[in-house]
Amino acid sequence: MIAWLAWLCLAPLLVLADGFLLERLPARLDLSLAVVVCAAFACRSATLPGLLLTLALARAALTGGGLAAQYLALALPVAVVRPLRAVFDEGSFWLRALVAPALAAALPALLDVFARLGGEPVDSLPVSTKDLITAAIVAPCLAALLERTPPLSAFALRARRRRSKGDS
Amino acid sequence: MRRRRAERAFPIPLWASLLVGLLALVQPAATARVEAVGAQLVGLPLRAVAAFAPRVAEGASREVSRDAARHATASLLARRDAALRRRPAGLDAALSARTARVVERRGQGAHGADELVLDVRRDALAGVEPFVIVGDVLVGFLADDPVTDDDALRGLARVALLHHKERGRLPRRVPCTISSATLALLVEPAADVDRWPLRCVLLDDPYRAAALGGDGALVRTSGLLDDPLGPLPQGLLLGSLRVFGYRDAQDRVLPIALHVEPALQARAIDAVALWSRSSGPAARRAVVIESIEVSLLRLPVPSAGRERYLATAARLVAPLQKGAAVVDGSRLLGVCEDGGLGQAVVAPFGQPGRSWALAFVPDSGGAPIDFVATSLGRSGARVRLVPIGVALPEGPGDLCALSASRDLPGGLWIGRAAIDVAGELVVEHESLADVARAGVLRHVGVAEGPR
Repeated sequence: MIAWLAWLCLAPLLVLADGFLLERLPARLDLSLAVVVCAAFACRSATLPGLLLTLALARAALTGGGLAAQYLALALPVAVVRPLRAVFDEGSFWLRALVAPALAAALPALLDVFARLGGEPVDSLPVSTKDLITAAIVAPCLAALLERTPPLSAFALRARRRRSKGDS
Repeated sequence: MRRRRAERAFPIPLWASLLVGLLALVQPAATARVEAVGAQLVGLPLRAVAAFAPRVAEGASREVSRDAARHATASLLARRDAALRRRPAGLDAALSARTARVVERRGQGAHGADELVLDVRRDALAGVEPFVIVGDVLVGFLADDPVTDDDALRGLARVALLHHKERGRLPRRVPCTISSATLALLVEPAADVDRWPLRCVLLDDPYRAAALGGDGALVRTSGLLDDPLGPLPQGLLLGSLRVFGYRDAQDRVLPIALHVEPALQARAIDAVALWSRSSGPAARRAVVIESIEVSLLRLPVPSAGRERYLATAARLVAPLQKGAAVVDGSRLLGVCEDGGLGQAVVAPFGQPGRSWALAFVPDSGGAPIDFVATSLGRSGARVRLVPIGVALPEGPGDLCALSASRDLPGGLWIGRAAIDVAGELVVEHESLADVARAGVLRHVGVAEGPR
């Protein structure tokens, strides 16, 4: 419960941090993308709707587009990418580095489509090649960091494994 | 083991929530409350951040702009009132005018809002003629019954626009003539599938109608005697004729249906004129609006060309409504993007892609020009807008907002504006980053009894 409350407080700050870094850095460090990568590869299935809904709420409140469009734009890529965990090693940096640029390109495009369908069009930031390269390098690292730090560490598979190991 | 692998690859809760998300996308009203509560929750940490943020020091220029806003708003209201009171040619000389401002537009049909709520109590309009006009344009008819379904606006007068349809009631048909073809007809609300909101029926000469050259001809009331639906002056403008039909090789049009595009969109109607035989006491404003003082903090958001500010009220539970105006005196600064208790996210005026109903008050004199414009975005203290379907006069003037909701009344000053060589309207509008304190308007209720 504490982890959920902490995530509720952290999600809007992550979105603001995205904007803050965007204004000050030459390349885009997308923290929302890192959360999506983390959710796709490191979080437990049962926690995914709540995790992404909270982030979608924060994004809808701050950047517009509507809650449903923001949620679908975040959750659909996670649902599509998630089966890769059954095939590849879920902790693989290379897998995440390959998926992150695809997600970086897909998130704004999906948001555009869903926001238009929902009648609240948004102006998504254009994604450049530099952004894709940055996403490939930075997003897996940030995702690994988020996975190991509270509150997201409480939703990670790693936490459950640790708990079950402790029980045995 | 196999089930666990399947669950890992195919997260059932996530896919189930995607289905719910799709439903919410097509039925946004169903999740509006959840969204409002969620926005309030995620706003709490922002409020905490706002408490520690440094405050902007406001300059003495604020008082100057407040004075300019007061002057511009007064000028707009006086000139609009004078324009509305000008008697159209066909109107009986015994009738005298009353003006009323629009509080809210209602109806979400295929052709947009079809009802106006006026800032005057219905019981203060006894003996008023049913037709409602703006200049020489007939916009609709005064409803006999006041607003009853909304406690906040209860008792206010309603205007049914020409395309208003009500279940169980006959639509108000208007006898008209088309100037270019001396063709008499009736105009009534069109079907939802029609391209325009009004259609022509019972043409007096179908052969002449079939030979109509094209569209754009003006449609005016014919002022038939003994109109069973109530008398109507002659010569009031409804709009422009639109022909829906086939076009042959010689560019002749074979009409399937004749429609009328209203001269004024509901969004661009800010005040109307009502006419009565008795002069009587003037109907005063009925809606009571308060201003909630808020402090503003700029939020860095990752979105193209967008700015957002967090408005926090001193009172923790002050209700800030979505769509409410953020003002400094009578100067419009922005609009609340979502509502909440004690806090709201504010978008400043001029966000790209946003459409605004505006009034241009030229310095050269004359009536204010109401129009709709789309914002192209802001660069420094300048906002560029593209006016839609109107040619604004050259030279500077004041730009004011028309009423958009019950919490965004018309007449708020935006800034000095002028048309540039590209035909775009350039407005001088101070950035919200230089503003520390502002007011958020809130409709409190309707004053009791006839005033």
